Amino acid sequence: MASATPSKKQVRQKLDDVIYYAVDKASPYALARHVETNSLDRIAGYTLVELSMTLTDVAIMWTWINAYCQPEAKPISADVASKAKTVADVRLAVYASAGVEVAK
Amino acid sequence: MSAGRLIALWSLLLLALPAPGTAQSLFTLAKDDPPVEQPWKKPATVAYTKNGDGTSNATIDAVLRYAPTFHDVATENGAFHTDYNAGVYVHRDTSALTPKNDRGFQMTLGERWVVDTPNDGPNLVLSLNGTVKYGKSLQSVVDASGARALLDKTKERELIKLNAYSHLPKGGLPQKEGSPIAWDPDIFFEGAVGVYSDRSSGNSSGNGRLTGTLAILTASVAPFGLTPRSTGLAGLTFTPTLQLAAQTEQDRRETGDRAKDRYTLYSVTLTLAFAKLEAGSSAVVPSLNISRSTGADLLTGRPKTNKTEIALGIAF
Repeated sequence: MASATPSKKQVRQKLDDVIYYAVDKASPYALARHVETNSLDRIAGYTLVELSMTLTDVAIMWTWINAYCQPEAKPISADVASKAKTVADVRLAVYASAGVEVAK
Repeated sequence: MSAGRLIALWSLLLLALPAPGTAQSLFTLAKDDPPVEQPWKKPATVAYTKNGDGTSNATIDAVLRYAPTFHDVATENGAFHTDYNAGVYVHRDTSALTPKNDRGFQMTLGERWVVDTPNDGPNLVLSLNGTVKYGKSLQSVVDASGARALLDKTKERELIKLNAYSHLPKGGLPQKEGSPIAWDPDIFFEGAVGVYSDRSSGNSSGNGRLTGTLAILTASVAPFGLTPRSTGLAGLTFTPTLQLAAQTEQDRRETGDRAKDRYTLYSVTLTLAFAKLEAGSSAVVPSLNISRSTGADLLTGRPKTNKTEIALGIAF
């Protein structure tokens, strides 16, 4: 029996969950423990540096995203990944790879 | 067939074959391997100079690297990332004063495992890397009579390292760039253990193979965090970082006329990275890097020495 194709909203929700988990894992801050930073929308405006992420932390984040966003999104190339400076940039890159737009 | 030829054949085969399951294949041609953490690459250069006395010299600096990117794989307790890269290099200078003729290839295979530790604790990534290098380089040698000569040395090296990285957790909330200076340390560690094999051959002394083990530990502290803090000067932020590193290499086996030895290297590095708070600002941006190191390193060819390096830069 063929499985139902997920809606754009479901795809966005899955990608948001994975991105948030990956950022929280890579950043030394306990983001999920504070109401000010406990959702992707609330941390979208931060740069990766402001989240105290070293280059290795950023690599951790992309490894996690690329591993867990499949099959909805294709892996993000190193060239594109290196241009993402903020969490919002990361979300845009992943969304573009999955062919979905940021919800208005 | 010698080990060197086998390795060369292996590398050529990898260069010729399309990598299965790759998301992207990328060739880069650069003047040199840039430091890993720098976002720039110098172009490859070829220069020919005709001197007034009829002599001429040529310089070539080129590294051609093939670096495919593999798909990452999710597992029950983490995420795996596999990659490899292979490349050939030529660094040649025919001038009589400082002739240089280095050529060879290098290949690295790597596996990175992001461990699914709790997100409010320290993160942890383990990686396993294997590197093979084979090449020839021109070296200045002095014979028993004191005469100096330039001879080709063949170097072959294999290195396998298991690395671990962890960034300790921080309390509080993230700070925006340009916020006031406050005690908010970021502390992260990198460690590695590995085995190496280093063979040198040519028409001079120092031929043979050294095989041994190594261990490296690096601790970094950014006392005000990694977020650039306000300097109090117009439009300038800064991020001070202190890094302490220690490594030891212990030869276990020796062949030829090379003798077993132990090499230790310690270093402390203070980096003051300044940045403009606003893009397009006309502020002059200084940078300062002070490093003090003592010891020797077999794998980079560093003899036992003490070294203090100060790098001061200004950007507009």
